[in-house]
Amino acid sequence: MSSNTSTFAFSSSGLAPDRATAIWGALRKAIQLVFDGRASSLRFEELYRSSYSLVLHKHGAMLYDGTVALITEQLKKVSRVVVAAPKETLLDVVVNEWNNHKVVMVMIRDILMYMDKTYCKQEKKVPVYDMGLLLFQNHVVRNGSVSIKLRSVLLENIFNERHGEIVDRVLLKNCLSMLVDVAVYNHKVYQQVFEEEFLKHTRNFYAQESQDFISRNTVPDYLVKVEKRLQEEEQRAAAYLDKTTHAKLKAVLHEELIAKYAERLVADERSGAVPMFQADSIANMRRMYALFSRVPSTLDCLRASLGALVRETGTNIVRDQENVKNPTLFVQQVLDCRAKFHSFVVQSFNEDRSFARTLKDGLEHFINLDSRAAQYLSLYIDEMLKKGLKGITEDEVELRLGNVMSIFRYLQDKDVFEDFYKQHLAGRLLSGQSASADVEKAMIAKLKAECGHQFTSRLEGMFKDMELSKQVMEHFTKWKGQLVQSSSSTLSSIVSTVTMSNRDAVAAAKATADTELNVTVLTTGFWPIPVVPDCVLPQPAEQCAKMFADFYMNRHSGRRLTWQTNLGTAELRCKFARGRKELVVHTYQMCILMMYNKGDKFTFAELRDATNIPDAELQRHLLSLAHPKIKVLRKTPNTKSIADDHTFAYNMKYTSKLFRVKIRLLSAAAAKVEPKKVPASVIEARKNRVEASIVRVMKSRKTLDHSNLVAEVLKQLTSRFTVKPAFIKKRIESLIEREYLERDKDDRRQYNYLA
Amino acid sequence: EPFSISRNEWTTGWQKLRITNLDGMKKGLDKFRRDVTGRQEDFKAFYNWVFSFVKPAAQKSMEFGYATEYWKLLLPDRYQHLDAWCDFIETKHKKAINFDQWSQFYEFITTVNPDTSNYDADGAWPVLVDEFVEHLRKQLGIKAPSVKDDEDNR
Repeated sequence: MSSNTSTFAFSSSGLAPDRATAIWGALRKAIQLVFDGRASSLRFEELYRSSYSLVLHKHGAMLYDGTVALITEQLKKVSRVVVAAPKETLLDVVVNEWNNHKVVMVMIRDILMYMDKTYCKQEKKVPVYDMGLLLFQNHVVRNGSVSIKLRSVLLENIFNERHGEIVDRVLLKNCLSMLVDVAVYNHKVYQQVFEEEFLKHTRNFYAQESQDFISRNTVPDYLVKVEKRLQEEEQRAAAYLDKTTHAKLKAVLHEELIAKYAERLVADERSGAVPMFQADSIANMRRMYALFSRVPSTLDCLRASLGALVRETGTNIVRDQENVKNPTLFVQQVLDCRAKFHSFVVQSFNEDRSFARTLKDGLEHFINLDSRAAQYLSLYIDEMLKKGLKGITEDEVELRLGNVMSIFRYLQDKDVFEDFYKQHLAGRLLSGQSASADVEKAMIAKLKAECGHQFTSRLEGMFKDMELSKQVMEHFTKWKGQLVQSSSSTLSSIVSTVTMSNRDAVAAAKATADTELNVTVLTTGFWPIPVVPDCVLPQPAEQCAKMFADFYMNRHSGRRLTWQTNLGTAELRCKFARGRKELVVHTYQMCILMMYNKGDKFTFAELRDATNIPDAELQRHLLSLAHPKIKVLRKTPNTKSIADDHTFAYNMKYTSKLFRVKIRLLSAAAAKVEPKKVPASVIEARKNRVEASIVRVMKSRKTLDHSNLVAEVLKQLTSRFTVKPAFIKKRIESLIEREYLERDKDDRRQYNYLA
Repeated sequence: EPFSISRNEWTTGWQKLRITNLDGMKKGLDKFRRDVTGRQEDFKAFYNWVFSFVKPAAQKSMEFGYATEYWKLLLPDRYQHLDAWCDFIETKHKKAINFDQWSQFYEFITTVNPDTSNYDADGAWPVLVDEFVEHLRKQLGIKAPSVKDDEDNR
């Protein structure tokens, strides 16, 4: 039929069968030309109208089926070409044919568009274009060995690329796209022909490679290699693998490269986590963390390794004998340990919270292994303040205080620390050994900020006492001076506020004019002062003391003064054969030495009765005076032990190079704090605090069951110290006995508050 | 004063029970013994009353020596391990017994199995009872039912 003839039929009565066949024949020829690549000579409009006509007159089936047959024919030819292609050119050939086919199908679709829109829709047939692709799948791709060959070539390419060869990525991409497109509605062909095998292949490849590499290389080197491989694979996936493969590929890689070996990498003794930590390999650890983060479950073993190492390192610090003797060293080592692992948390673990918590738990664990830590921390500050702060800048001081606070936060028994700190501070203040009041106050301010004002109120009270005492002393000295110089006319105004009679006051003042008195007044609740029995003070001292007491009581009538004779010093002017000396001694020693104004020799029993000094202290002070290196007194017999009948004689022959001699006191066999135990005073304080807390809770709840009560109390106290539930139970029992609480009559596990 | 009854208490007491002669007293005492050892609530009330009767009025606790004697008097058929308990009190505890401990002990023997298998460590029992249970278990070679891992070693 001539291409110039327009065949057009409108007849409303339909199209005659032979007419339809003729039209179909023309179309068929046209399509064949399209297949042959000679479509340029065709007139689209005519062809469109032909197909339109056929469909309109109910010949859609003939058109459709006919087209399918045609395409199938054509594809059979194509597949022969593909089957014949050798491996080297297979991909090229396939992609070529595929591209051609697509072009053809577009044209055919355009021609048969009306059929698509009407016939196909109505009869629920696959539209022409898609049909064309499916046919390609069936007749070309799934043809016998083609898919297997295809797969093999594809995998070979990838394998080579993994070994560093260059491959034609565009070609691969196109081929893989074809596999996807050729199934039209899903990824089945792509998966079956390529993806499943690809993943298996990948898994085997890396299983082999990793095993090899790991057995011959260090952990850090392995990590570097893994990082590289992962990067490469990511690039490859982006370059030519279908998007749906990306996640599956990642899963395989993570499994084979990381998850499988994570524990082994961490545990490796020569180059694993522990050696890395110990060598401060921040960068290597960062890489390990980054890689492990891809498989979050692997972080567990890394985290555990950190925790174990912190505990081990810390426990060694605590048990180290050198540290036992040297508090500053101990604290320094703890600080170093913390700093070391902290920099890992910040720089390698990206401040990961769970790692930060592991570090914290580890530090808490060993710092609280025994109560020494609290004591040493306090001693660290004590030493720093006693030694003096020469040559240390303000910033350095601030840094040290900050360090102390950082360890303080890990203490579980903060009240033990408070107890020690109080003792040490008292020591410093009373002996004037604190290098800087500012630094002292700065430390207290930090403690206050951390724990609240209750924690530091007594410490601050101690400072106040020192300052107030200074003022009191100023007034007292002035007052006394006035008395000494007074004439009767000015007398009454000065003395009127004193309880002593005028004459007595003046007399006392004049009598004690030669004796200088310096008093520090301590408020009982603030200072850790034990109760001591009164000893007998020698006359001038006794008179002075009374004067001061009267003076003070007059100004603060509601108070009671008790002399702490176990503290304090005295400067005595002593006559010896070779001249006078000034001896600086402890209060008790003053009492002892002043005895020798009345006699040359006394027995121990006599001294004890005369001075009323407690036995243990009396021995200690006597031995200090009679010590072979000191020899202010001579002891008979000359032994270390003391019995009632041993005598002590004043040594007139005493000499010293110095005029003013400080007599050193033998250190007290102080009740050393047993490392594992909490000091008794702290336990007592805890009992009170726990009871106060129980009462507080019960008062507000009125009635509460046992477990909840214990839980509430623990919650309230946890920032100060920790106690066992049994401790709380005992306090509850005590409160029941004292009728603050009762057990509920119907439920023995319930407690009721008794107002 | 312990172990003594005033004349007034004597006469008023019998009067209230409407007993006026020796025979009546014998029968009355028998009845009393039956009443008091009958139902659990009655016995419990009696048992608890004994504490206030025995302890010195001015104090809150009774000496443990007395406590064990009275336990042996009151509870012999009611607790399998009574001897172990008294022994524990006399050799290990050795402190005065307060009312809470006294009364809770009765709760203990009436609610907890002799082999302590249902003993609740969080059950608000007095510390004394906790300690006894531990002691008893050691003696009888019983393991505590579920060992909770307690990391608190202090």
